[in-house]
Amino acid sequence: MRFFLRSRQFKIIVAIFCAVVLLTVSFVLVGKRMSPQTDIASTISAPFRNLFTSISNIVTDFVDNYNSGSKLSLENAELKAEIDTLRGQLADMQQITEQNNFYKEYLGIKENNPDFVFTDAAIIARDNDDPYGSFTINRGSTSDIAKYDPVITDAGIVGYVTEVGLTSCKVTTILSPDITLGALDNRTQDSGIVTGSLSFAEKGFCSFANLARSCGVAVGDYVITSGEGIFPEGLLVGSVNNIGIDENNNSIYAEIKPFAEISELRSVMVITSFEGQGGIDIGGEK
Amino acid sequence: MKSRKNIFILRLINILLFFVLIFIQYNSVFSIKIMHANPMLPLALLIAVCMFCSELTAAISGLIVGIFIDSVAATPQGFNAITLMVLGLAAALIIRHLFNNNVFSSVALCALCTSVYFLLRFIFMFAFSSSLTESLTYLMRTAFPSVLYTAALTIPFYYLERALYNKFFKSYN
Repeated sequence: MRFFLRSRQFKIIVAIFCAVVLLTVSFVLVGKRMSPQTDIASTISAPFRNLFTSISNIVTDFVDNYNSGSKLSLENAELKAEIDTLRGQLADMQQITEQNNFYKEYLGIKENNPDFVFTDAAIIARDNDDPYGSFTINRGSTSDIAKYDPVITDAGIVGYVTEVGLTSCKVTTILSPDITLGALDNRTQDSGIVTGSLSFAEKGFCSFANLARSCGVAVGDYVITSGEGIFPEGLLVGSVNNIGIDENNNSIYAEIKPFAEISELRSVMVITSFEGQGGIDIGGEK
Repeated sequence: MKSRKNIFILRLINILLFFVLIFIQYNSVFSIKIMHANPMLPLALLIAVCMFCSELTAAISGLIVGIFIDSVAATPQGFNAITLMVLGLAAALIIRHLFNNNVFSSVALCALCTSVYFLLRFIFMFAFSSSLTESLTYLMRTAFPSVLYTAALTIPFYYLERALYNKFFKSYN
């Protein structure tokens, strides 16, 4: 062992180690990009990852189709029962229509927000060890994506870009405690912050916290972005699933089920530009 | 000359294996999770590789694998590159100076390295952003079973690496 510590091999290893640490630390301090070695690795492996993602998508579709084929007869019986249920539900049609109008209003995000510039992206890698569901997409700085760009689907907010490489970037989801976004209850206009936690993330939920004790938030309410922070205002976040009291500061929090099914996503949209973007300073970086 | 060619082929096979494992690890379709236990496949292979190579090769293998993992994992930048480089070097040193080169050593070494990896991962990712209950839940429900699962998976990798090593370097053992 003592011999090894004096050997040329050990000196080379220490030199490489120092170089990697220096590069990483300097790029973390600069903050806006992936470290160069990771960026190069990401660019090299991008075509293979795309290929692998395509293969895995084909496999998933095949398995889904196979499973659905064997279930057709069962489904037929279920559908007949469902027709009866639907007949009963006709009475609630008015309410459903109103709800649909509400969705339409938000699903037409682009029409309502002509200032938004979108870049579509496919998910090419997912960290299964990360309980917050973060993932990597196949677009990077060459597609004008920058750190803190919001990531959405037509259903609602997914998260934001945290690391940008040339041809890929990493997205942190709203299930993560690293994210805090200003939000409003669409019905009562009560404001709070949406953030994540480990226990909520396991259920696929996030938290609408710091609500006043006198707030009127109720189960089933829709939560939308308030425009404070890095997200534009008026984007759907999720619906209130449960309400509780925060033991630490006696405020109210609501458990939110995000509209975007984060674990099921295959493609997303990145808002690369919108009116008011960069208006708030985030750690002195933007 | 033949020896160089053999080394090249062996490393090429290992690179391909690492690539496949990284793709499997960071893809939601081919998940090999059992409950909350998710094995760290590239680390299991890295330990098996380190059993049959020099310290420098082990460190560089760890570094390269870590860099590729960093490009897709949710860990802080450079975390995997630095951690796997140190773990690879440590594994190679331990096997050369402390342990015998056999399957039990590989399992023990893998359990040790994976424990360190998950502990560091926990410190960097969860310790400061989660409550005590959440942290303990993560450690007991996810990290600990994942360590055992990874250690178990190093057995086939050990035999695979030994077979490859024997094929390309007959002189071994």
